[in-house]
Amino acid sequence: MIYLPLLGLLLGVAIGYVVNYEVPPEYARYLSIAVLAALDSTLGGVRAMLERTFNDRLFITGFISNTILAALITYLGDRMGLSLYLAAVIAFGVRIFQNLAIVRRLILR
Amino acid sequence: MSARSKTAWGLFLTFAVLGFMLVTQARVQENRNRQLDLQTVEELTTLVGTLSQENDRLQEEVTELRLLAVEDRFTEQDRADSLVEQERTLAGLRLLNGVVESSGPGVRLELRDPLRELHAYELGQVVNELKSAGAEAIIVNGRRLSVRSAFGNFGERVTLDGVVLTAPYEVEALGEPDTLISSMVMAGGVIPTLEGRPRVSVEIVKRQELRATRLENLPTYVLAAPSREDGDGAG
Repeated sequence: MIYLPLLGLLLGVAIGYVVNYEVPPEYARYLSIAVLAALDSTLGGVRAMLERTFNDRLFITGFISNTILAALITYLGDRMGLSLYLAAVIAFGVRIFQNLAIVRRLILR
Repeated sequence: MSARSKTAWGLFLTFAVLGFMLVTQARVQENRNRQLDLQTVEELTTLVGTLSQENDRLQEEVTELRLLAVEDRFTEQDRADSLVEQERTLAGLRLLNGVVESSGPGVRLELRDPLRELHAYELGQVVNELKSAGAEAIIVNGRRLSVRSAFGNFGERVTLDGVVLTAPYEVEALGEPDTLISSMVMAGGVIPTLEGRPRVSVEIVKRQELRATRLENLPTYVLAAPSREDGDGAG
């Protein structure tokens, strides 16, 4: 069962290569921050799963809202002339490392 | 479907979406880098080269225009003055050198020499004295003297520029008549000296209107060239 997410990841990568979908360069920034949010969400999901507090509804909504919100913040920052995306980068970055550390501990325990 | 398998499939889906996003993002970034690289290597080099050339050209134009502006400001009057001055000088030189015909008051001398006692030296003295007194044009036996004219001796005869002259010698000089006459007749001057010879007599008269024809053959210069600093005729 633990291999199913890994399989999903591989499938997504494969689909990405096969579909060869091109994002217009002007939206590349939004996608990159959305990727970071998605990475954070999935790592959070893995952590919750290992802690046995996983809630699929929470996870899915978190994944979608985080991704959209991150892109939205970046867009807002661009409109305001502020580097708001940095806030998202730092918040998600810190959380990714925290989650990674916890996941590591949970696995090695 | 159990809760566990639902969770697993949820994770599967989100991971799949994440994988897709990662790959897409990676490709976008790769394309962007490639475009940037292309621009850096080829387009930017061309662009920089073009801009550099354009810059050089405009810089040259600025310098040229500045020079033109400076020249216009400072030399328009100078050039006009200089041109007037040069034209005046040229007109004077043309008159003095016999490039143009000239006329005006002067004196006429007739040197009678039946025994051919006068030679190139004496005639040279007469001409030099007239020049010293300010003669502006001199004609000897109808031949106008140029700046390079010279008397010579051919046997007992006198030549002017290689042409034999026959006595009596007629010397006409354009200039201030009184000055010319007084310089010729003064004690110890040319005429008293010439008349010291027994058969030589000199008659000198004022003339209101003398005419000096222009020289048929202007003197040519083979070895003399304008000095470099005066070569452009400036000043």
